[in-house]
Amino acid sequence: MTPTGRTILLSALWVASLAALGVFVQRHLSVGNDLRLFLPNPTTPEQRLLLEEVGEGPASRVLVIALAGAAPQRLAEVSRQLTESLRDNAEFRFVTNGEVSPEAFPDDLQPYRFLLSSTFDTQSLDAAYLHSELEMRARDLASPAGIFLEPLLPRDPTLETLKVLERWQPMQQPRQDFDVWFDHDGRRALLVAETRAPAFDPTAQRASIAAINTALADVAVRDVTATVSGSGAFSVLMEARTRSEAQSLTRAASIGMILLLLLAYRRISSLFLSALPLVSAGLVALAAVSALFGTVHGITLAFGFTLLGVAQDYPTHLLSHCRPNTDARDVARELWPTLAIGIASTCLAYSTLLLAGVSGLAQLACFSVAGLAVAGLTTRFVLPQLMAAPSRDFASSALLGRIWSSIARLPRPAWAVGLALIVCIAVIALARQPLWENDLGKLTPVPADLLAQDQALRAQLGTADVRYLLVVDANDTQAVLARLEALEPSLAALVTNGAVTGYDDAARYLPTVATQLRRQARLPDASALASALETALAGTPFREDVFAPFLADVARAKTAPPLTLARLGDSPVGARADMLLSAHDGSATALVTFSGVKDVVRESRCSTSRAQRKRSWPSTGQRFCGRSRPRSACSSS
Amino acid sequence: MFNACRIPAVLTPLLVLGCLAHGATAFGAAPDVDALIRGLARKAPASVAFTEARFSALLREPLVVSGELDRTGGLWPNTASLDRRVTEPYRESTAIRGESVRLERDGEPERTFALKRVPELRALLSGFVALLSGDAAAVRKDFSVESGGDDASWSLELKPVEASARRRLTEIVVNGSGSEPRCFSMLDTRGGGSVLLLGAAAGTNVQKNATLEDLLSLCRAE
Repeated sequence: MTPTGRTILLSALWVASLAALGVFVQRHLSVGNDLRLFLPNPTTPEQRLLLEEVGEGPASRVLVIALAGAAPQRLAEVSRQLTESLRDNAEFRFVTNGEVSPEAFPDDLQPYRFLLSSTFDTQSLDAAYLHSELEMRARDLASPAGIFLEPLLPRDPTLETLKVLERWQPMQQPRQDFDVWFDHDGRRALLVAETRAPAFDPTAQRASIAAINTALADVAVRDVTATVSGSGAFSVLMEARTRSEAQSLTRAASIGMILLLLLAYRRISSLFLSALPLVSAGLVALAAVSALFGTVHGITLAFGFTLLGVAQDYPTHLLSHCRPNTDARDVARELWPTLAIGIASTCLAYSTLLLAGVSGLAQLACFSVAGLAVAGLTTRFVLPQLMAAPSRDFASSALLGRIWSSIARLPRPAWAVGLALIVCIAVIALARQPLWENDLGKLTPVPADLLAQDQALRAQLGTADVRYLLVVDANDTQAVLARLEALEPSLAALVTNGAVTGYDDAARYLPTVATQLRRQARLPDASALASALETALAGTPFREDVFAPFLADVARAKTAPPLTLARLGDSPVGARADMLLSAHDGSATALVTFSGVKDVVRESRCSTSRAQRKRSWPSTGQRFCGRSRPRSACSSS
Repeated sequence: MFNACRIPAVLTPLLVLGCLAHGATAFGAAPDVDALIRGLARKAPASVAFTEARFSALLREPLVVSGELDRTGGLWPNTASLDRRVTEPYRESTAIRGESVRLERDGEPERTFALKRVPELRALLSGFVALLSGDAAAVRKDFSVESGGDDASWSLELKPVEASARRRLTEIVVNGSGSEPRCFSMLDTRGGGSVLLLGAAAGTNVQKNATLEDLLSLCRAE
């Protein structure tokens, strides 16, 4: 196997072209991590919505942060500092620890309180009502609350602003100590952070979690430990775990392969020769996928390289068939028909993945077919050019001979077959898990205790349960809001009878234009209100002239154009409503999220409207789908 | 003192005495703040009758309520608690536990709010509890303190240090004689305030046309 000038030149050319390909791949390869690539492509609008919601919806973007390890007061202080520091961070859409922020109700929207609050749906804003409100305000003023209520009164003697802010609060309020959220035991301070990045983008989620850790390191001196939980945290955890497992397995496999090759051929050059087709296969496969798909998913890479391992056989066949005084090119020619059939059948088998209709699997098919074809062709046409005839037979080794004969001497009792059969049957019969697992939830590599902890934290906080969603759609935003308003009594009943502890939808923040117009019509006009106020003031300790701002606000509410999603804009409430309601051309879709879901059967019967569809996400939906596959009115579509 | 003496007839007799008393001690040195505060220490639990008059630019006449204040021991806000029970002219109770305040009134839904949202009230309460515990260090943590008068009729002026508390709270004035606090007045930045008359002073009949200045003078004078 003495290298000639020709083989050296050819090797150099090959390595150079691999290097060039490597540079191309390095430049163009973008590795994606969106796991939804491995879910079936959505074909209906609902499926598309569900996929979007699962990855990008409000529930899945929420990270729950639990602080522990110090006295409650210290934890509350850290919670406050952490919230302040994260609020300025671009990674997060909002961060809250339960403290009510007054900027939730922007000043210029204040007059709209009369259109947002349901107080005057049944009650008229007349002299009798105003008088009783003013009497209560006088008592408020004489109470310790007086000092902060006093500045609000001239503008808002009925405290309508506070009623609206109360309505906007999460329905289920967690325990609050020292003003911030705590768990039931009061041992862990709880915060909620909503990331801008979707849950299934581990790279961006990792940045968000790093931001939390940095902020925490700035405010706490090692005495407080933080637990971050949520879909985003899980996707980071899964990615890190998969990556480290893949790396250690690959390392072990490579070392084993190298040792085996060295033992079999006892030549360093054999390593080089075996590696060339494999490296070519990998690089061409990467280049092909990034050219065709743009983004290569991390999972495609991991599985793809495993599938390409088959290509290691090809140079091995060639090397093992070479004998002293035979030309490698002749060996390759002789082997080719057999090898070609093997390669073709493997490629055919992997091509079927293309038909699965899942873009992640299509990438995988493209990756492995391109790689295997290149490995086969290079083994047939290029590799033999580099190989000189070996000086002696690779098989003539005393050591290998001894190993072979000691293996051959091992006893092979016939009863072992029977025993193996019995063991297999016993394993199948006695296995605790069913042979066929239907619970897609079991597919998740996230440890069960972490999932349970996440559920527990969410239950305590009243954050939306990611597993259940009610989808409501109609032709436009107003129609959707009207449907949500119609649903309100049924949803409230769910809370009353304990099926859920709370729900959230866009209608909690924004009534329909029709409702707002109805409320507008019920408001008294300027002169009627002025005389009602005059009557109401008699017998109260208030001065006559102090409520001019109140009269002005009612007058503005009476004539203002109704509030819309666009007008709510970037206020915290606007952002919230915006996430729960999306309008595309010709259709609008709203989501109702639930917290503290206890009784799914009852919940699935929540409504008689035909517009609602209940969906349970399969990752954990087995219990739900199994026992109460939505036959109910909610599921009609 | 001239202002203080130019007030409604009902208070005049008291104030004349007050002006005299004040004038008599004006030449003496002001009492030591720390000693004064230490002397205020009361064993908890303690309960004291109060009458409170609230003045505001929104109001034609002061709001006057009376009832009882109950305090349990410990260092606020960790262990101490404060209850303010109004019995006249209506029933109302305010319970302050740690950082939260619960307000209950007949025929109205219960309300709770966090002291963090009301820094001025928080300052007021911490000052009040620290005074009643005789804890001068705690008082100085949140306020700059000055004393005036003499042992027989002294005053403490507490000005909040923190900006958030100063937003609405100008100062707290405590008047008393010996180791008995008599008035606990809060002046806000909007020209209003409230005067808490304690113990024997709680029996004072506050007239409908009394002004904040009238009551402050009464407190200084008594």
